[in-house]
Amino acid sequence: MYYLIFVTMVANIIASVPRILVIESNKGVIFSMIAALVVGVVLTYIVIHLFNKFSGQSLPDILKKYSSKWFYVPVIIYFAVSWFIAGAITLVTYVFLFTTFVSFETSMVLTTLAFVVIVSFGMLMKSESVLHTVEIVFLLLLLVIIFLFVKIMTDENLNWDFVQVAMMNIGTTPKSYMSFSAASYLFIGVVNIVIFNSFFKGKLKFGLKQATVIGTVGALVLFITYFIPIGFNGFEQIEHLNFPWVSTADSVRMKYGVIERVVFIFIIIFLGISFLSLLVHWHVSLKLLESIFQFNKLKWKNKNLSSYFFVFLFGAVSTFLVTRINEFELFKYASIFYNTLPIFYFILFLSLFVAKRRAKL
Amino acid sequence: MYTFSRKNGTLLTIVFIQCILVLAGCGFKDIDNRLFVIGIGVDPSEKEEGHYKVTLKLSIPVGSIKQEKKPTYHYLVHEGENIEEAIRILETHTDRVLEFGHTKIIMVNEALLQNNVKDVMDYFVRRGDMQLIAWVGAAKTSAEEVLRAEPKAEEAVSTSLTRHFDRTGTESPYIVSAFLFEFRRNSHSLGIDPVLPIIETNDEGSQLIVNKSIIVQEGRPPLELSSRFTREYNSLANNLGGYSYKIEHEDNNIVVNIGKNKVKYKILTDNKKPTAIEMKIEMTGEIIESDKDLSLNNLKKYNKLAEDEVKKHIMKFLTTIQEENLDPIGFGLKYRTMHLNNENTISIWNEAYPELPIDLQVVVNLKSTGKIE
Repeated sequence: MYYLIFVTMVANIIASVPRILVIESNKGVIFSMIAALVVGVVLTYIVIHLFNKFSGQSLPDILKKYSSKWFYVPVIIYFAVSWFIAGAITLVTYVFLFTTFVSFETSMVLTTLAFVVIVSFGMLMKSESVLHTVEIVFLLLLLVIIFLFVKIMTDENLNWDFVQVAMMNIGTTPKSYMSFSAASYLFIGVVNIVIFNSFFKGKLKFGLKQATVIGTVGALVLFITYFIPIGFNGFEQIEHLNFPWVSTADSVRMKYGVIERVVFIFIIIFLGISFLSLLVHWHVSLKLLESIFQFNKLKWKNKNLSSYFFVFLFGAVSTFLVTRINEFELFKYASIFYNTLPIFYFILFLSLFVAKRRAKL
Repeated sequence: MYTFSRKNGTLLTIVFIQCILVLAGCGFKDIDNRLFVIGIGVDPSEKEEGHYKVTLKLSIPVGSIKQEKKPTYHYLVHEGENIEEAIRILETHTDRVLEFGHTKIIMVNEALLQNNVKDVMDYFVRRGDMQLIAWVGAAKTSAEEVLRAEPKAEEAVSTSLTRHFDRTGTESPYIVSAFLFEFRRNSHSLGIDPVLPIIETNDEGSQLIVNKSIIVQEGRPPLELSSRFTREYNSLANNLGGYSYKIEHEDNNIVVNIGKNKVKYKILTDNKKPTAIEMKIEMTGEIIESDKDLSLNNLKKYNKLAEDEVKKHIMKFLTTIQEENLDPIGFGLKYRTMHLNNENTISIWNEAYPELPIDLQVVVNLKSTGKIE
């Protein structure tokens, strides 16, 4: 479970979250981040607590059992679409990043397809295998990530004075809802439980200890996400950077390293991380869709092809998205999506409460 | 699940083989189709006002390092309305793709530093393949000349120009180095001004000399720092040691070598207004040259003498930059870290800075008189 939460946190470092935070840097971001931290931990607690009531069951199971069809079909579709969008944001951001920094000669469609093909295999795996994949890949990458962050934070060209200047903006009255929603998006990882709950036998513990761990890691990740790019790029024009974190990684030099430019290691490692995040999001989305749509007509040799159909649909839609939108639109739509997160939580809680009521009756 | 029949196996093999055939259409260009740009120079155009002359230093790949005595370079020069246009035209001057991923140095003509800094830098920062850890330098007389210089000591597969800055080879307090991201950060930020090294070459182009620097601020003539001031700046801003001071004392000339130094400073404030800069420097070193015999007992006295001497030099540097209203060390930035940010913070500072008294304290710790007394 924690892997899911942490993967989402780390993956967002290169997604649109730091970009939104730095754009809002004059509007009381620090307060928003603290608020998001508190809210994030509380929401994580509530979600885990609610699902503990139904241990061993995924959200579609629960809803199917305890609510009527007119209620659960739109709810599940809404969730599925949200997860698909979350994955698509990661994918499109990464494709843009990849074409800007690594391989500008490859066409965007080709890069997207390469991603989609690999992720498609992952999506069709069993949920349990997905969990194992996430765990293995994350553990393998974790050490390199920690090394990179330590390397970046101990760099002599990181000017902590700028970080302090940024902190001195703590007094600014928070005016930015956008930065709050973007910062709290870091904690969204926990809601993947809607599908994976069926694999957690027994109750998940979420006491003070767990809350502290998630709170500390969350605070650390938020700190790194926002302040380190400022230390490298200054406070005044940080909002002009399209990829604050990649530029930051590019500012670090390993004097005696085999690869002098840290940015390449950074991009490769985060390729793995965003792949995981994409995999988890789309897998959940797929499972949700599968739970309500089973096209009986799409059968071939006794095998139902509806999952393949959805996978194909995902790939097609995201390829279409990549060719259609530009960086500005991506950023705009991503922030709109982040802003709708409260609705998302509200519906999740509402449906769970309804189910809980019914279950007891 | 499928049972893996013979038929399916054959089908799979055919599909795989066909996949391999498609693979050649990859969007990546091979290394033999690329030319590596290691340095870019920007000069003002000689023909037209407002245009740029761009020089690219290309490294020619060698087959074997052992056989090559000297590195082989190729230069491309073209003038254009903007940098992009010039580079696009230069692409047609060669049969291969220009690869900017290895560009380690960006030379900007001194004359461009007054008004065109942001213009010039914008292009390099915007390009995703250009390193942000490329070094930026101000070229004296012309960037083209500096790039074309091929020092005698240069070996194959190592460019002297960049080795001046990377602190693996020569390390000297006379050399300032500035990464592209650093230069951009400091030139855009309030409360600190960027410093660039000045790179000169001798007439034959067989030597590169880097020992001066220049403070750049958009919209005003840049201030050139002499070698001495450059040294002072480096010791204050980067804690670099490895330089010497001459003390005259009772007809004796003593030269003190400073190995290590540590600088601390803070801005004293009264009711949110800056009142003074308090700076404390601790130096450790030894005596390296003297006309007469010295006694170890007198080290304390020499400490005192050295302190006065160092203080005089550093004060001169600090008051000069203050008079010019430039702030390469970042006192203003320091001031901003101490106060909650609002629109007035920087204007209060800007008003106060030129008149701010500096309280300088120097502590010199001489450890020895060398091998002889």
